[in-house]
Amino acid sequence: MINAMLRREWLLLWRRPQDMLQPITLLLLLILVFPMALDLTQFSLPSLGWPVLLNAVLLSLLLGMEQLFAEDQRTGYLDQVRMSYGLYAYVLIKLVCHWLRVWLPLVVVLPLVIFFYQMPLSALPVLLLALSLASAAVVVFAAFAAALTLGLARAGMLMALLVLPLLVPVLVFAAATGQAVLMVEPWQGAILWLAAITCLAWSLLPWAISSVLELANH
Amino acid sequence: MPFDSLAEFWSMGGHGFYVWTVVLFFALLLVLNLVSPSFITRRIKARLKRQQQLQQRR
Amino acid sequence: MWQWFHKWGSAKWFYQASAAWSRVFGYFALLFLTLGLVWGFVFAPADYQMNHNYRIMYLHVPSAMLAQITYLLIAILGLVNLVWKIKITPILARAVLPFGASCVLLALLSGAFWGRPTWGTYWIWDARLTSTLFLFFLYMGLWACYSLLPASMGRNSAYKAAAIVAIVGSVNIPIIKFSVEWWNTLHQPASIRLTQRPAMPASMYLPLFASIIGFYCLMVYLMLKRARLLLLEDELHKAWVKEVEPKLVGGS
Repeated sequence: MINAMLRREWLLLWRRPQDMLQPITLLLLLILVFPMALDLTQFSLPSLGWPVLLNAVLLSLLLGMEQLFAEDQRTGYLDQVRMSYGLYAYVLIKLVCHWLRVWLPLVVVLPLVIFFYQMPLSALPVLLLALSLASAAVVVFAAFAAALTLGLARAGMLMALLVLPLLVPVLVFAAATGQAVLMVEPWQGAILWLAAITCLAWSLLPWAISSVLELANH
Repeated sequence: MPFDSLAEFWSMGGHGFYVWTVVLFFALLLVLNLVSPSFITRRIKARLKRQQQLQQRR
Repeated sequence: MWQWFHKWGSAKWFYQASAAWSRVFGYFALLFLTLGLVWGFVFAPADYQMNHNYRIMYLHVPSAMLAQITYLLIAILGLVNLVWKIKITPILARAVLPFGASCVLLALLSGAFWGRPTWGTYWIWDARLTSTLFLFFLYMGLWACYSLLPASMGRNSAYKAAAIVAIVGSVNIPIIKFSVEWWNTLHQPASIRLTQRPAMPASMYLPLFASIIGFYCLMVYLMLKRARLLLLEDELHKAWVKEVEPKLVGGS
């Protein structure tokens, strides 16, 4: 059953690569346009790169996320899964696949950000780890909002309202990690908090998501 | 009693603007909270009226 | 005891009993708010550092407290709804929400107007101010859930979904607070602790306590008042409504 679900997600990815490319294009453009708004004699690019990237990740991952379960509901797949295996496994697999789908492009984007914002390359490993944790948390919170707004006409606004306040701690600790790394200070504390929040979110929210989906399809 | 005159009370030692704005805002929110239940009553009445009209047409 | 518990399942019983409670709490709110605010704004002595400006405290502290307590109450009501499926709890949660949102607004505005003469600026990105701001967005999100979700998933499911949102939010509130504190702290430490005597003379903190009690009573009063009407709206076609409100629903 897990194999079948994974295979399905894999096929969906290749049928519609735009799902994967859309957020990442937005992300890249946001990051590259941002310096145009700055007077580069007054702001230091290296210290701006990481916060800008984090905010852009937040926005671009939210974009289109309301479609996460919509397709499966339209085709009746969600109902089928609910009747047969239960929704929890489905939600977990969906989340992991979606996270991989956004994480892979992020791996490509991060070195570009480091390059364009003149950040030291030595920061890459820690930043990559922090970015992975932060994006995982964003995905699971956004999926929660997507489950709630399933079937609503204009879900985007409500999703942002529901998700962004909840993501404040993720943003704070991810940003603090990057700042510490760039200042060559101890960064372990911040990233451990970030990891703790991501773990908490991944252990509790999939359950909440599947119960909301259960309610929505009752 | 900390105030000697009414004028002193209004001025709040020079901070009158801040203190009274907050009090005014509190009063505004209080009135809004007290009045807003009547919106629900109005909604209920409108709904009942609509249903009655529908029934009469039938 | 179980009989007492079961009564909460009856909408009719709640509707009839809450009329008297709401009146009692309304009078108590009036009494304590008048007492606390008149005492605080007129008779309490001026603070030697902050002059008369500190009087904003008599609105700021209760509203900031109630803003958090109300969200917690909504989450607890949500939990009770999910576990015991008591019909009245989601309606109570929905009814108390506007009061909580108003409290956040009042706390933010009074904080800004207290901060301006004290710190020289209306807004600072301080931990408590910032987390209160995000609390406001949590309220707005919850409000949007109550008003939009019934269209997509039906009323009872929407109530349960909103309960889940409130619980997720209330788990997050301490984390948000902690993270924002970690990010920046400028604010003076809390001036009132329940476990120790406050660092204020009795003539200052007694009116504050009266005002806090007044806010609590106001919360219960407004919650019950709204909940009765929301219950009526939700159950408009049940037989008990015709029985207790014949004038409103009355036949022709």
